[in-house]
Amino acid sequence: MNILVVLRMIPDSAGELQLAEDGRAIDREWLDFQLNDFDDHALEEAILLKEAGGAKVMAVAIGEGAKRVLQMAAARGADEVVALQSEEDAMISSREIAASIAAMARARSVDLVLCGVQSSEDVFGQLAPYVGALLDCPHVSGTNRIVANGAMLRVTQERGAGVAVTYELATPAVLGVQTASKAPRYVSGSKLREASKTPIGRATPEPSGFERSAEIITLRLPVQGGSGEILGDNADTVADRLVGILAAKGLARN
Amino acid sequence: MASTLPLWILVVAALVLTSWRARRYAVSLARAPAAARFDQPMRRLEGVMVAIGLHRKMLRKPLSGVLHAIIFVSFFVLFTATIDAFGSRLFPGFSLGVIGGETWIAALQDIFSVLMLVGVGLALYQRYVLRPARFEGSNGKDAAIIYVLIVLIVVSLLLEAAARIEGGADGSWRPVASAVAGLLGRAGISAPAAEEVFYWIHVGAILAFLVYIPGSKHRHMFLAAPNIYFRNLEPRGLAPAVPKQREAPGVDSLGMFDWKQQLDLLSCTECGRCQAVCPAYAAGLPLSPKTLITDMRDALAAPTALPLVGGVIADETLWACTTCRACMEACPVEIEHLPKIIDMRRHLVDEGRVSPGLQDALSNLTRLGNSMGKPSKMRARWTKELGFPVKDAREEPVDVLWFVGDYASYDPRVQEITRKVAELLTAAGVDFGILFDAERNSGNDVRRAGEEGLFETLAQSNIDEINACRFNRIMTTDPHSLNALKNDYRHFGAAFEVLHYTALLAELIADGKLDLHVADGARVTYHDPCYLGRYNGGFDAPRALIRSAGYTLHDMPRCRENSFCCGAGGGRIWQGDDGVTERPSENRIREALSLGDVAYFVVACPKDKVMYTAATDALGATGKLKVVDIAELLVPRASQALDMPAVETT
Amino acid sequence: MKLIACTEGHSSKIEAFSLEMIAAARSLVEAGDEVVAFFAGAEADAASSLFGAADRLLVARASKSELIPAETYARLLRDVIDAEAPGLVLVPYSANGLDVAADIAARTGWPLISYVNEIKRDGDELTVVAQMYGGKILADCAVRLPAILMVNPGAFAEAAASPIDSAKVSMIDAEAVLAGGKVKMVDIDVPDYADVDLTKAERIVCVGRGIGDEASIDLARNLATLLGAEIAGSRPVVDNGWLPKLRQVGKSGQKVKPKLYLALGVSGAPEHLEGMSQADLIIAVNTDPKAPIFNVAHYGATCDLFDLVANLGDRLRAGSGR
Repeated sequence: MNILVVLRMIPDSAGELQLAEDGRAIDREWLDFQLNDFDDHALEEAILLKEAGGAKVMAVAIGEGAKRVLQMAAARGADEVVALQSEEDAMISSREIAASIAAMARARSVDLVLCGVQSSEDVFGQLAPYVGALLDCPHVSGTNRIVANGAMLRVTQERGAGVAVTYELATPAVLGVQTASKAPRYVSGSKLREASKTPIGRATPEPSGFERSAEIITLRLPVQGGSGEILGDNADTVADRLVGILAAKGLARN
Repeated sequence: MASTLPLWILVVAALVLTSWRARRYAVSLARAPAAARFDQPMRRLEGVMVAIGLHRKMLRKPLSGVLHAIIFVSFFVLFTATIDAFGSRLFPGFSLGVIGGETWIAALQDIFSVLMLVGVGLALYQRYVLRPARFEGSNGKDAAIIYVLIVLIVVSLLLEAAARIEGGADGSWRPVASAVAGLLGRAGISAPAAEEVFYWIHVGAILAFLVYIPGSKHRHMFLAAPNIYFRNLEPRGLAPAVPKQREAPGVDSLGMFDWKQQLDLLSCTECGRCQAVCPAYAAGLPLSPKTLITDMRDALAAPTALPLVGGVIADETLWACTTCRACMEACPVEIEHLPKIIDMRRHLVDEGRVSPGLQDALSNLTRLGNSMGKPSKMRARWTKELGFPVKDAREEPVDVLWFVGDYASYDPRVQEITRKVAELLTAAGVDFGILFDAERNSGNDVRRAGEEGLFETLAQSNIDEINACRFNRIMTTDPHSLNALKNDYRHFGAAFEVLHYTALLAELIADGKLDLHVADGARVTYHDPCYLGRYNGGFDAPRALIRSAGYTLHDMPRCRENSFCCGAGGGRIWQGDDGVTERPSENRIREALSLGDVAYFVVACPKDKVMYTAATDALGATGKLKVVDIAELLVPRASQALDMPAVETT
Repeated sequence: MKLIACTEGHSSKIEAFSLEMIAAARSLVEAGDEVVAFFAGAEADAASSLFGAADRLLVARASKSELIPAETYARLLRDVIDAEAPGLVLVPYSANGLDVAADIAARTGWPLISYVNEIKRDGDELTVVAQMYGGKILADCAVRLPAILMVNPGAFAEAAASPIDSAKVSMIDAEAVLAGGKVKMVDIDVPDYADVDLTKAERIVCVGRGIGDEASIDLARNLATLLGAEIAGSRPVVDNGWLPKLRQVGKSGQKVKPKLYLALGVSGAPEHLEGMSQADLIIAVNTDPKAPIFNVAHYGATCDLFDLVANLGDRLRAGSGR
């Protein structure tokens, strides 16, 4: 089985986001970029499938720090690693890159495309259904378990309130991974060093093919607070106030 | 003599059997990778003398120290009897008589036979009446067999001599045997026949003992001295490097351990002193340093199909260790537990078998250089709230380069203390600077968690940054950073003068550069951090600081070398509490509370502040005991006095 | 113009956000427009009894199936779009919607905006407010119709539930499409909440990534005990294995509505807010004053959460004489 897994580099979720001067993007200059967490799980699921039944895994990374992440993917067991070029300092829109991923999947006769179910920059739509529709093959998003039996896949999807649904589908297919069957493994520093010699392929992007798309006019930080009252940053006074508030609402125990 | 041939046959048979029983160990040791333990013979010999001649570590537990000393000395004295017993019949004509075998040596044998029985009696009393918890998991049957054999050897020796006296030999140098002889006489036992029977029982028991030893913890009779002689003479804080000839970073089979590590396994006496001091064992985690060693020893004795890591030794066992070094400090035969644990952890890390918490921390360290997942740029954010700027050591020369460390830089619970230290340094006129966002985690616990590759990356990055600065000395807040910079970084040829902030502050006070407000002698207790005390000998500076600040130190029972770990070291702080029945930190706070008269629990390590604050909170003891960093006790005169918390001492 | 509001249900239940989709469409109608609700599943009768706020209801009925796979749902919806030629399709941000929206967008070539909170319409121009970066940023987007929007549950108030006139209901037989589907449902597992049911808890103390490490969860657990509350966690906390899945609040966990919700170190990703914003009293503690959790909190504090937990614990213990 040929597996293609997509690795998108996104701004560090723990970092503070600031807006660029024109207000249409975030200021990327001082940001730390990291692998989209869901994509990390997709990579792990790809490697697990390879270990379970044999597969050739190609990792395709997009964005700042792609090289570092591809070395990590190679250290974890990816057979081939490719950096898909992207516009510098621009957000990675899944709608834009879907055609490139679909073209690579077609060119390499990929049986299974794996990617994270979402990313923080997919406001114009999610990658798995885009690629699935472009390849005209089935897709399921939000998976937390994938088992392959020949060309048949058995996929469990996580839904709200703890409901889990299991599907069967045949490859070729596209899956949007929420959680890998096992947590992404740790790659030791020595393995990373070894993998730093892995040759990294390059791919140039395809045009998205969409004639019309929505556009961002302006970005802004959410208005703070709404109607809530801010009690400040002194733990002592906050604790006093909270005890009072709980008592007033009849929520203090006994 | 007619018995010469049978005795020769017996002796040769016993020696062959003994060698055969020891062959597996011998082969394994012979095939083991090399270890450089042949340098400094005088220093090595001196250590053996102190450890064995003076029973230094043994006597830390008085009863067992004394009883062991009795048995030990008795063995030496009675060995003359053994020489006599075998020599006289194997080589007819041989006798110790010429050097006093029938006079003073006989008297010593006579007395020490009794002492040996007293020693064994005490040992029986300890093992079967007192039953110390440290024997839990030791092989009781092995110990019992040894007791029986010793008693048999000694009693048969006495009886043989008694029979000889009864048969007319001179008993004036053997008062005990003479007394027994009287009893024999009254029992109407025929002297020459009895002497012969007791002789054969005696030599039979000795040969049985010999044959038994290779499979018994009593190997230590022969191996304790070499194991102590070949002990590690490197600094205690230097974790072993990965040997160049080893292909993988870790160890996943016993044969990969060098001969000294294997010799350790064979030298264990199962005394359990390591187990008694182990914080992981006390916490209910699946680690006993003793059974760690004996499990590997047993696997060496009887090869098993199980893998070493994840079979003979469970993953959880390895991850439970805080690397506090209390076990190695306690071991009377200098067994090195930590190098083994670290080498097996290296294998786990290489395989990617790490707990989620550890994985998170290590991934953050790989990506950002700190375990918290915070951006490097925020590392020096704590300086913003200071009333003065802090020098950038990368930009200008400084006297003291301050290596602040992760917790002291990022953890909001510790930042306040970091600022306090900065203020104290400024008050004392110290010219200091920091590395700002160029500092990385020192890698001390990364290395001890078995992540050698990441440790190398972190260390190299810090060394490069430090080498680019101009400074005289390095000061660290965290004892863990102190250890890495001072010891581990030697692997990269870095030789810095590094000291802990307690040492620098004590020096400043001694030099009269820091004038302190003196408190009214209130009683406090102090927790020795593992990596400051046990690892680097920093016991006195913190105590001097406490005195200088006007407090009276009331040490806990477990202090200095015997300090009890908070449970955070060796990467434990990044892991979960699964399986912990009592957190080491809470165990320690209970110890402090039991002193009954201390208001402050003084710490000198950022991780301790975090761990013990949480522990006092969890125990609901925040009103009784306040966890303070030593820097918080130091109030420069002219600045405001420290408010003592309202404390109900019970 | 026609506006299609996609609705959902499975296992004999209609999803609550279905009425929100109808309300969102309703809020955008101009003269001569028509709101068409689309439903696929076995719960045709339930849909008919609730979706009176729509002008018409199209039901793709698959009476034998507990759940329609998104692939089949999208195929049925495409047929509806072909037949009805709508100007706007509203899809809920749900497990199903995640597969449907972009699939339709790719096949029709229409623009798509996800995670939508607000919509304004001016003829065939829409201005839309969407969330990005886990709710840390709001994007004002412009789009020309026809288009697809994936709308956040909770962003629009539910339309009033009322039966729809049977004359306005059209039935489509979904069985043939379902039979030809490439994605087959083989199992559905609805958990049994014997251990803990957060949805019934009156008080919840929820910890987020800000708690830092697993050891610190116990501090929060102690506080929860003092408050008589259940301990819960946000997704990262549960993903780390620090709390069991049943204690997860949010989109992929439980949707809760307690009397007291104390959020410690929770940043408030949209998926989390979806699960708890209906709580009666929300108190949020987070050192980042820009954390989105403060947008829904009734009381917020930016102090260190460990200090607060300690101080609050002291006061509660003192208050109860412990």
